Amino acid sequence: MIQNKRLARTFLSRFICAATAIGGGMEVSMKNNLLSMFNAGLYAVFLQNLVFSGGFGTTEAIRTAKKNGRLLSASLAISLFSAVTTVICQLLTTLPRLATLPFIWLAALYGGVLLGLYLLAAGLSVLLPLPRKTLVLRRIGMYCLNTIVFAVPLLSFRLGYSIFQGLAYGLTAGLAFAAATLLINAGMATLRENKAIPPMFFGLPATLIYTGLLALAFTGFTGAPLTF
Amino acid sequence: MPQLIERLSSSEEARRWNVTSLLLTLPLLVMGWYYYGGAALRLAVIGVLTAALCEIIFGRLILRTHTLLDLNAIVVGLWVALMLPADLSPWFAVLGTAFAILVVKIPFGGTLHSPFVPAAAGFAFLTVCFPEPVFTYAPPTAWVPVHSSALTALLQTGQSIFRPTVISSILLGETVGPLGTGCILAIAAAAAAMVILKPRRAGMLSTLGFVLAVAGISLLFPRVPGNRLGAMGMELCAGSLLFAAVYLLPDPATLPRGLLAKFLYGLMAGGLCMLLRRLGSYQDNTCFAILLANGALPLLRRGWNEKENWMNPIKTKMKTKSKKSN
Amino acid sequence: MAKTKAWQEQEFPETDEQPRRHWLWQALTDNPLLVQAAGICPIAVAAATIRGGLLVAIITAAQLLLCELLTSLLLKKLPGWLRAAGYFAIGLGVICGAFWFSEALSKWTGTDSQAVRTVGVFLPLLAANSAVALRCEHRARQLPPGEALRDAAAAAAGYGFVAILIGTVRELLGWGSFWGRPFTEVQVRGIWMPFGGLLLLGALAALLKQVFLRLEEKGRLTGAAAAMEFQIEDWEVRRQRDLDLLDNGEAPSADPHEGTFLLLDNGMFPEDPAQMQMTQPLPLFLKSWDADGKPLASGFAVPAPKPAPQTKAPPKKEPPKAELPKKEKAPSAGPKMVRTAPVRPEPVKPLVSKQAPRPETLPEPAPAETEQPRVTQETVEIKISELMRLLAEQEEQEMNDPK
Repeated sequence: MIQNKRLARTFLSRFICAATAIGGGMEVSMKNNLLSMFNAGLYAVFLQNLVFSGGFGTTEAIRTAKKNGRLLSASLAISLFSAVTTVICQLLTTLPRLATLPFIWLAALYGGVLLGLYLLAAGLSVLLPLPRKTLVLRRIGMYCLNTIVFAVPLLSFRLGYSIFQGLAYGLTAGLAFAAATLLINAGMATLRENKAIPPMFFGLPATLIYTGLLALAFTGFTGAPLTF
Repeated sequence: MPQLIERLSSSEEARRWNVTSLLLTLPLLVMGWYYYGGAALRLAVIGVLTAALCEIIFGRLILRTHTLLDLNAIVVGLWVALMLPADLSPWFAVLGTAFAILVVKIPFGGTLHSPFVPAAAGFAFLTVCFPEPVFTYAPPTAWVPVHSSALTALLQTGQSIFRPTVISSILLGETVGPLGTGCILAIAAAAAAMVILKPRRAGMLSTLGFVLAVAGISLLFPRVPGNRLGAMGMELCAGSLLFAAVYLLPDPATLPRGLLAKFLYGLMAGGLCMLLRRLGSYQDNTCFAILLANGALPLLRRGWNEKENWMNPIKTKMKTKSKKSN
Repeated sequence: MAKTKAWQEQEFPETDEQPRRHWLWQALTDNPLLVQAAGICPIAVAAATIRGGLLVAIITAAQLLLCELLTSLLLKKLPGWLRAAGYFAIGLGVICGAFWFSEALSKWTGTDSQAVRTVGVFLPLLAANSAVALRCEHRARQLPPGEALRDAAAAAAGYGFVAILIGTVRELLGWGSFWGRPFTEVQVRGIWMPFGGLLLLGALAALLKQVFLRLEEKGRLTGAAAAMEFQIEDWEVRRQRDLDLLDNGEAPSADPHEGTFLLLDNGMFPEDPAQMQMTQPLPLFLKSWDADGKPLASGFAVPAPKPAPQTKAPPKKEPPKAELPKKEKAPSAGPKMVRTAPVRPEPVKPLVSKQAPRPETLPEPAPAETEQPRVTQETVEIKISELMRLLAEQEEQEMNDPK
């Protein structure tokens, strides 16, 4: 009985040591992951804004800025789809066979993943009793199958992001889109009040120039376009 | 929708504003000529001529009015030139000024209607297109500078030169830097003059907010270790920061209405400037900070206008119910 | 009204009543980039050289032709969300095909496929080109296959022209080269950045608009410049503008694409719209005017009250049945029943809300020279059901027409 007690104590002490080591290691790696996720998010929103520094999703940003009331749904859709697509694509890329594919075929695979996710989401929207289903189905295509959502997994791959970084990058893509759209919308409202704009610039030309100048302002962060 | 940005109501007011700006800028040009010789004057003249030419030709073509007489183009051309190195090729001044007038000013309606400060946008464009030449400063010809590198470069590398013995030199502008933005005393005198002049007084609130934000952030998070006051002094005197705060930021086309709004706008611009100095890749990001502040202002203005709705939705609903019952 | 016409010309295909324009002319007046602001990303990102612009143009042309033809033949029968997936899938197919073709060609000729490699990193993004999806949704769905191909050719020509032009300017100014060969020493770095592309697009759009304005002054074009106005579709601004028009005694705007206004004939609802109760939670602003266009009343409908419990509900007096007003065609202009899309999917607000001030003085109803139909609850209920039917039709139409 004494021997059993000794064995139990040894086992327990070893178990506690192992758990502490693993927990401590996890804590450190979790901190690193959180930091890297924060960096990736900061990159997406400010340092190299996906819309202004990269040009991705500019059409969607300008057209959403034109219509009040759609920003929240658009940003949420972009965040969700970017994040999920990126995570799945990153997981797929860990397979040795897929990791060695040429970039264009890898991009086609990523596109297929995005398409599959979209069809799944749209199919669920059709089948489930969602509020405002018609609105959801009407807008889901534009906000889920666009350049910004498709660019996020490709950029994550090119930038060598980890899964956590890719997840953060995807989640903050919606935030970057929202920031860009809000700025463009506020600018469009300002331009609408400005009666001195010459007729040849009033409307879309002034909006495009305004967006370009906003993009110039964001270039001050890194001084380089978002390329991959 | 109410006008929440103070626009000068008449062209005569605009002209007076530009004349004041021009007169308050001339001392900087004189100091630049004193320090850098004829090259400084040449750059300024070319910048002014380019701006005038663009204004005459494209103002007639697009705006269908004569807008040169309000002197805004002269002011913009001069300001762009003053932020450049003295020995830079004149083509840079041509390009920067042309961008400021043709892309930022005229498409949005001309004098004091642009949503962005034209001179800031022109310099930002040159910074992005030619980062090395724009920040390669010539050594002055009249005297030996305090240090062979510009203050902005020293801040990036974390070196401090701010000692009591060099404060006067720095304030007089005896540092390597842009053509006309180094003489801090001249800029401070211009700021004092603007405070005295009633039409310009309110705009100085934004300058105050900007300077306070820069000073506060540099004290709390100095880029130069060991000497917080020195870091603050270097940040304020480096590059075109003070020049932009005094001349560019209080642009009446982009300044919000209301004293508190002006101050907060300056605070925001100062915060953005320090953020860009930390995270940005260029030596001097002040103009980018001004552009970001210009872009963010309409958004904040809209949020402020609708604050009653989102800050107190219950009160709004109760008001609605009481109106309905009445 | 000029804007209404511009919208009609933009949104609906040409009929036999309107002159048939050459498809190259349509490439300008209906340019996807400069008029509809669609497909900006590939231009801002990929069209930084002539080769890049050419590649973008070719691939987008292939996508447009294929997608519009398939939409006209097959895809229009599918629901909107499935069509969007179809466009993306076709885009991916075109991209992969282009890459495979380029690789095969380079192997066959023994040259390196430089253009694809240069733009290759941005090539996959062309699959999600919004210009293709918007064009198919707004045009190809309503056109027969031949017309759809013609429209695709026009869109491809317009898009390609802008892509190549912008690529040329950006390569010349930004890289100082032409088709990869050094041309000048001047290199304005910012031009090939995304902001440079946006600024160039803005300048081109301004030039195009100036051309339209000049042609409109000469009477050779209508509505093209107005189509480039591209203003915020602010529900509150539109509502306030219509209220102002009503207060001034003018008929509100008849643009069917604007606002959440529901315009009704005389006698369709009582003087006080607050008495009109809607069973569906939609914010509807109701307006009516008489046959002469004189406004009668306007305001928000209120939600139907919840049915009271049977034990507590007092017996309701049945109002006397009134004859339904005869529908007479108004001789003057003015929409009889114009359905508009409820833009704001929010719960119904009370009649008088902060954002929706009622006009203080409603216009007086027309003098009773003719027998005014007495509006009763039954009348109102019948008209509500008709409204509901029209709303359902509108929603179905919008579901098939995501904009």
